[in-house]
Amino acid sequence: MSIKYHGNTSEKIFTFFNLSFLTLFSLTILYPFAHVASSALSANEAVLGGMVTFYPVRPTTEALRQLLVHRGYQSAMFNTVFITCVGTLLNLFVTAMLAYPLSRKNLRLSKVLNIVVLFPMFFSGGMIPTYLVVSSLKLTDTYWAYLLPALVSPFYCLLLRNFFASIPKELEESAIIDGAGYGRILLEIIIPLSMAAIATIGLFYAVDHWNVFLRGIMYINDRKLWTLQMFLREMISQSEHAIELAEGGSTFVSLESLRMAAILVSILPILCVYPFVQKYFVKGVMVGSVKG
Amino acid sequence: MNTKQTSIKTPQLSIMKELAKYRWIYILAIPGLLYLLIFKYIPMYGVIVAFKDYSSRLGILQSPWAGFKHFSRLFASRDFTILLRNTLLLNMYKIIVMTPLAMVFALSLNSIHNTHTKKIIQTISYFPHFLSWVVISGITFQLFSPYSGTFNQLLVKMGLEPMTFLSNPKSFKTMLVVFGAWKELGWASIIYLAALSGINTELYEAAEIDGANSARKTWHITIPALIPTMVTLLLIDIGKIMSVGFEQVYVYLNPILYETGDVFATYVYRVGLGQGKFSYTTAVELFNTLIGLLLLVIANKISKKMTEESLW
Repeated sequence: MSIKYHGNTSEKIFTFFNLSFLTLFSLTILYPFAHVASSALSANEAVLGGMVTFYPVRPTTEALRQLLVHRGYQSAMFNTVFITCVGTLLNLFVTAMLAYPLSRKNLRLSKVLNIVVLFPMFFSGGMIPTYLVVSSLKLTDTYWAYLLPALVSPFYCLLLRNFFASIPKELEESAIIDGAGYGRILLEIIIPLSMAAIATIGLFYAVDHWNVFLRGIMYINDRKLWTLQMFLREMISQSEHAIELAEGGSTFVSLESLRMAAILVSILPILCVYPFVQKYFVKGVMVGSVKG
Repeated sequence: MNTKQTSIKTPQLSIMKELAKYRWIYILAIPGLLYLLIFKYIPMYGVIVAFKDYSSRLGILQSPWAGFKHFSRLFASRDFTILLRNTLLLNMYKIIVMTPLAMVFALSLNSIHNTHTKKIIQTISYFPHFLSWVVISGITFQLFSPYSGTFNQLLVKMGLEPMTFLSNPKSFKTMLVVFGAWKELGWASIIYLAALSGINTELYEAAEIDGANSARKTWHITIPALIPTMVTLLLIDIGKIMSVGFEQVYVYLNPILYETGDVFATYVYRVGLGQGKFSYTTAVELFNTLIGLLLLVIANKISKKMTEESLW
């Protein structure tokens, strides 16, 4: 049932201002991205001269090409894609396996398990003690330093638990009568029914890996293991003259153009995946956030 | 009258028997629990480093005890007041700005009747949430650059002097709050939108019959319905008031800005990992966590009394 809508003057004025406000806010978000993309694709002098606004001036792909052949960029990109793919899969498996027993309220230990998962959200050992654990396990300067310290997010785990708990018990009971084990029930009944939630937290995990920065600067010294964010950060904080340009680049490309190209390339994958997952995440977050 | 009732007890399995019966479901939890043990609970135990003089040669357990030495050093240092002030102020500004803005944004989105327009604005406004602070800093450094940045070019066109927004200690906190709002406003409104969609439409219909206009309906029905959500989110924010997101500050920070921009997290990273003062910075973090926890408990108590909303 829709709410009746009176089109009187004051409400028309309100609608006008409301839409203007929202449009303006949307433009403040769109403009910077248009600016980044057009700076990445504009001629060098145009970028340095501040002539670029939201469309490319004297378009060229020189900056992008130089970026793509840059060794540091290539290895950072490889590492980031690798960590994101492997990391997200690991996250989802372990999180789902933990969330399933948590969602079974009939288990006597379920309450204890829930507290064990919940407690780290309120009290954490902090950066230094975690660093000491990671370094004493000899994980520093390995891919594991990116993957293991963030294997399960208690918060996402609880979201998934709530989603699992909303699945009718009868489905599970009939499967047990048919002789299915809990592992199979999780894999063949619970997870397929929870795809909205899995897609949502999968996206969250993937974005966390794609954007990983703090774990990188804490645990990784070896440049070969740098991720995209660390590469970007160095590029952003470097002064104009310190740039080591790509081998074989004949045309001079300013650091600013290279920077914008690097930012553009690091945003693109998120931009491509995000609209498809968006329809899930509002629902996924909502079902999960119901107190339970 | 008194019929004798035989209490039928459901047979309670002993813990061991239950573990045996449901072992497969418990086994599923093992990898996750191991993770929590190693990377969450052992570091919690590791905070004892704060009461020791840690040396990497001796390890956590063998290092000699130091009592509260590191805490008194922290409280006596000039850094402490700066860090405390910056951290608290930054978070308070954030809460003051973001809470009403997120509610207004949700209300504003909710009053759009064209679902297509609404979807587009939602898609756009949620997007920056998914970007890292490194990327955002790159974009903002470019936009606010004193020479070629769009912002300063506008100023110059209007006949004003270009400004150094991002390297000015005075405007540092303001800029951080503005960027934070820009990045998270859309995302923060999701939870309010959910609360809005949960309002019973019959309330609005009844109000209309009584002759209420939109403004009155918003004031008497919509806003009261958002209050419980707002209180819950405020409680969570208060619990986090001592911890500013590390990356947001780190990417903009440089030594010129320490006075107004350095917060506990960046300090711990710089002094702890950078200079190897593990015990001292663990003490800094522990102090931080405990104050945050204390504030959360107090805020929760107050809220329970006043609004009957609480986190636990």
